[in-house]
Amino acid sequence: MVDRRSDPEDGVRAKRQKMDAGDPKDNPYLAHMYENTNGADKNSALAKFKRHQTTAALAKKAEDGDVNPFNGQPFSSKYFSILKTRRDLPVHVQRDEFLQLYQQSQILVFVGETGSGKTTQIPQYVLFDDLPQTQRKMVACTQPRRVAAMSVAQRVAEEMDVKLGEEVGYSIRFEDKTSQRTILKYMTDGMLLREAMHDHNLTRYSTIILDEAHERTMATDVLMGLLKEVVLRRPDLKIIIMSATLDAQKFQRYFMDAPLLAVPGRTHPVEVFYTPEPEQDYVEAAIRTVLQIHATEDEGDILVFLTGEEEIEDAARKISMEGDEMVREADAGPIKVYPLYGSLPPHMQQRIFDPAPPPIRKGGRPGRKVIVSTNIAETSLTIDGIVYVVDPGFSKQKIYNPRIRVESLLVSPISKASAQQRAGRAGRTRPGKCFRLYTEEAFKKELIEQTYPEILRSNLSSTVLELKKLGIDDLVHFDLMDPPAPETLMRALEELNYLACLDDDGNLTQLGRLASDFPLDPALAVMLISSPEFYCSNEILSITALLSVPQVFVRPNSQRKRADEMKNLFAHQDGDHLTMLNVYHAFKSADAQANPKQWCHDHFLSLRSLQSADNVRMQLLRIMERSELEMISTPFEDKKYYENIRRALCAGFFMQVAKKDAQGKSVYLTVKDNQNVLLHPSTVLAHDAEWVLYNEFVLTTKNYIRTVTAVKPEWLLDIAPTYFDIDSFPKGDMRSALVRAADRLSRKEKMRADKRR
Amino acid sequence: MPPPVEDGEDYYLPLQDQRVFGAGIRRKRVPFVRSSEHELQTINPTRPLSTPSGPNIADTYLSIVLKKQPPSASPTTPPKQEPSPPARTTHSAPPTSEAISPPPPAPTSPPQRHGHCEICNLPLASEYGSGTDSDTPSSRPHEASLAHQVCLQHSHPPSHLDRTRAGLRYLSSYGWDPDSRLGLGAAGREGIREPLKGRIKHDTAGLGTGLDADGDRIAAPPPPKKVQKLNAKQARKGWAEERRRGEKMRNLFFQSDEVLKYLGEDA
Repeated sequence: MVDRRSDPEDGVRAKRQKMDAGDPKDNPYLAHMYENTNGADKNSALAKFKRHQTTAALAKKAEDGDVNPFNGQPFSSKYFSILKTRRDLPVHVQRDEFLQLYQQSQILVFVGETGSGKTTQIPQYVLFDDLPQTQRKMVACTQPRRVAAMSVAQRVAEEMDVKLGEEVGYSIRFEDKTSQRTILKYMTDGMLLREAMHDHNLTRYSTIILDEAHERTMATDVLMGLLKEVVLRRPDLKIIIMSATLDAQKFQRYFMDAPLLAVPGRTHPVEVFYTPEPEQDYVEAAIRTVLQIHATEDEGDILVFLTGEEEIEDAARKISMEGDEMVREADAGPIKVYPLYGSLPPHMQQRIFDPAPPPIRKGGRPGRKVIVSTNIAETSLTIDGIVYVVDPGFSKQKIYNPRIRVESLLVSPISKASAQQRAGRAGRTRPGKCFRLYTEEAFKKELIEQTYPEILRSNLSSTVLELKKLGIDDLVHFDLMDPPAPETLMRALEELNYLACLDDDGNLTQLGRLASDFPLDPALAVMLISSPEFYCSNEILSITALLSVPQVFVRPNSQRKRADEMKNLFAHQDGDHLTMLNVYHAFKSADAQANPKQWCHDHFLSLRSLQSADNVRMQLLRIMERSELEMISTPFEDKKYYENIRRALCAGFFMQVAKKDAQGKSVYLTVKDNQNVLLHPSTVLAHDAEWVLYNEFVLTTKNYIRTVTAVKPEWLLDIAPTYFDIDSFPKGDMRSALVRAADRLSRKEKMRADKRR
Repeated sequence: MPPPVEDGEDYYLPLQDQRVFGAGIRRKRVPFVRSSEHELQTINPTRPLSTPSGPNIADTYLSIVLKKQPPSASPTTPPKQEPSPPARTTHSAPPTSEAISPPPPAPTSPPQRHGHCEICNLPLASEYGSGTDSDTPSSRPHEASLAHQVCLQHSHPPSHLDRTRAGLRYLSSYGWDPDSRLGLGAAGREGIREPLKGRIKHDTAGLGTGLDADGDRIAAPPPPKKVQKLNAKQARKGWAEERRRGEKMRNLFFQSDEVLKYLGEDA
C-alpha cells in the first residue's frame, strides 16, 4: 500500500509547488476551499471543466486538442489514429446519456455486451467528468483477473497517450505499477478489497468501477456488500457496476434500484442448433461435430469447449489425426488444432491467435483453425475469427463441501447464461453458428439459470478473516447479493478459531490481524507467522511460496519415466513439502542459476513456476519484515533441521491430517472428517508413515491426498491441543493412537524433569 | 398336510392374552401426584369434564359420521345454539391441539359467521348450508376442511445442526436462528439454507442422457450382476433344485383333486 504522505518524493513535489506558485489556490491540499478552480493548469483544456457538469461535447473538444490535458505533453500521431477507432465503439454514441446518469446518481449499473468497449472507454469518460486529480483522488476500475487488469491498463495508457504506470497504472497481487500521478488505476478486485482492509471508507478513490460484475467472483461480491455500506458514509463516492449479461436487473435491485444504462454490443446473430437425442459420449460427439463442420460448413474457425487438460489434449490429437485423414481422402482444407487451458505455458497460449492455415494448393479449400478450450475462452480470452462454437454443456466447476471440508473441481453441467455466453463467441466477426450437444429439452430443464457465484462454492475462511478485518462483525446480516449457506460460514468461523485467528467469542486476535496482512490462505499465513518459533522461517517462507504457485514438477506424457527419475533426485523420504524445498534450494544454487532455463528443462521442472515462487517469496518476505517477524534457520548440519520444518508445517496444516487405517493397506483416514483417502501416486514419501499432513484433497474417481509429509502425533498434540482434544474423539483406532502418543509425551516430559533434578 | 402336533409341555397363549410386561407391572406401581395446576387446558373449557363423557363422545362421533342427525336424538349433548367459546376465537392454535379436542359443533367454531376465514381466505359456509358445497355444514367444521388445514402454520422439525458448534454460537449471537428455516443475509434477501451439492461425474455421458422423455431423472441402472462360474456338482444341484421348484409350482396351480382321484394317486 502506498502512503502518499510518507513518500519522500511526494513531499518534495508538494514543497516545490508551494514555492513556485505561492498562490494558495494552486495548493492541492486546499482545493476544497476554492471550489471553482479545479487544480488544472490554466492553459489546460480542462481548466473550464466544472466537476460533474461536463458534457460529451466538452470532452470531445479536450480530446481533440493538441496537448494532453492530463500530463501537458503534446499528443502523438498514434493518439489520433486510436482516437478515431475509439469513436467508432458502441459506447461512444451514448456518452452524453452515460454522463447524465453518472452525474445524477451515486450508483449506476451499466450493461454492455462484450465488444461494446466499456472496459476501456467508461473509465476515461469518468476521468473527464470526475476530474479526480482536482480532489487528489483516483478512479479505480476492478477486474476479476490479473492478466486483464494488466493488459487493459496497457491499452488505456496508449489510448490516453500516457506512460503506463504514470497517469494510468495497475495494481495486482505482488505487483503495483502506479505512481503519485496515477488518476486511473486498474486493479484486481482482490486488491481493492485488501486496500479496504486498511482504509474502510476507500478514501483514496472518488469513483469506483466494478467491471465484469456478472462473473461474481468472491472479491467482487464482498466488495459490492461493502460498497453498499460505504456509499452511506461517503456521499461523494460514486459507484459504477458494469456487467455484460442479462441479469443486470438483479444488480439494480440489489443497489436500491439504481439507474441502469444498457449499450448494445457489436455482435452478429448466432444460429443455435441442438441434438434431437441426448449424446451418449460428449467428447466423441464434439470431435465428430468438428469434423462435420470442417467437411460441410463455410470458412471460419471453430471453438470447442471441453472440461479438462487431459480431455482437451486427447480430443485435440484425435481431431488433428482425423483432419489429416480428411485432407488425404476427401481433399478437405488443412486443419490446425490448438489446445487451450489455464496451465498451458503462455507461449503455447499465444499460438491460438495464429491465423488459420492457408489452402494446401492454390485454389484449394480454405484451411481452418480449431481451438479446443476450457471455459477460459468463455469470458477471459477473446479470439476473433471464431464462427462456429461446439458446446457439450459441461465445465469443471469448483464446489466446497463444508461437511468434509473439501474443495473439489467437478465436471458439472453449465448454466443457461454460460451457454448463451459460449454461443455469443461465434458472432464476434460475422454471423455464426453454435452447435449444442444436447437437446433443447435438456437446455430448458437440466441447466440452471445462472452459474452459482463463487461465494457459494468456496471455503470461506479467508473471506471471513477479511470481513472481520474490514470491521464487519455481523456476518449474519451482512448484505451480500447471494449469502452463503450457514454451515459453510460456521465451518469457516470454526477453522479460524482453531487457527487462533479468532478467539472463542469470534473476535479477531492479534494473530488473526497479522494473518490478514498476508495475501494467503489463513492456514498458510498462520504457518508463516508461527515459523520463527520453530527456527525455520526461511524454509517455511520458501515452502509457502512454492505452495502458492502452480505445480513445479513437469511430467510430460512421453517422458514420464525420465521425469520421475529426475524428481527422485530431489526426493526427501519424509515427504513432498521437503522435496519441494530441496528443489527450490537447488534452483537457487549457482549451478542452476548459471542457466536456469536449461537446468529446469533438464530436471523436468517448470521455470515459470519457480520464478514466480521466487517473486512471491520476495513479496512475502517484505510483509514479514514489515510485521517484524524474524527470519531464521536451523543450521543445516543440525539433525533437527528437517524435523523443525515438519513441526512448523503442523502449525498451519494440523486440520489437514490423515492417519493410516488400521486394517487397510494404504488407506488413510482423515482426522475428524473420517474420509477414506489414498496417497496421490505422485508422492515421494518413502516409508509407511502412520500420520501424514496434506496440502490438497483431490476428489476424482478415488479420493487422493496430494503433497503429503509424514508427521508425528506428539507434535500435533503439542502444537494444536484444542483441535486434537482427545476427549472429542470417538472411541476407536484414532483415539487410542492419540492416547498412546499423549502417554509417550508425558513420559518424556517426566524423564526430562527427572534429569533436571 | 397334517396339523402340527401339539406339544403337551409348551402351552400356547393367544397374543391378545399375553401380558406385555409380565406380572411385575401389577406389583410395582408407578406413583403419581396431582398437578399443581388443576387442569391442563388442552380442550374446550366450556365442555364440563365432570359429566359422564362416554355418551358425549359417542354423540360427537355420531354427529360426525351420520349426516343429518336430529338434535333430539342426543339429549346429553349441549344445545347447539351455545355461543362460541372464548378460547376458540384464535385460529393459530397448533394442529395437534386441534386434533385432541373433539370437533366442536359447527356453528360454534368460526369466529366470523358469514365472513372470510382469516387463515385460508376462503368464505365460511353459512350456518344452515347455503354455501355451494355445503353437504354437511353442521357436522363438518370449516377448520376441518383440507384448504384450511393446508393454510395452517405447521411447525417444522428442528435443524440438524449440532447445537454445540462454536460457529453456530457465533451466528446465534448475531440473531440467526437455525430453526428459522432462513438463510443468512439482510432481512428479506436471505440466501441459501444448505450448501450446494456437487455430483461426481465419472463418465463422458452427454447432457440429458440420464433423463426420460418427460425430462425427469431416471435412476441409474443397477450394476450388472457378477457372473458366477459353477462346477459340475453345483450345476447338477442347481438343476435339481430348479426342477423341484417347477414341479411344486405346477402342483400348486394345476393340481386338482378330481384328476388325482381319477389317476388314483390318492391311494
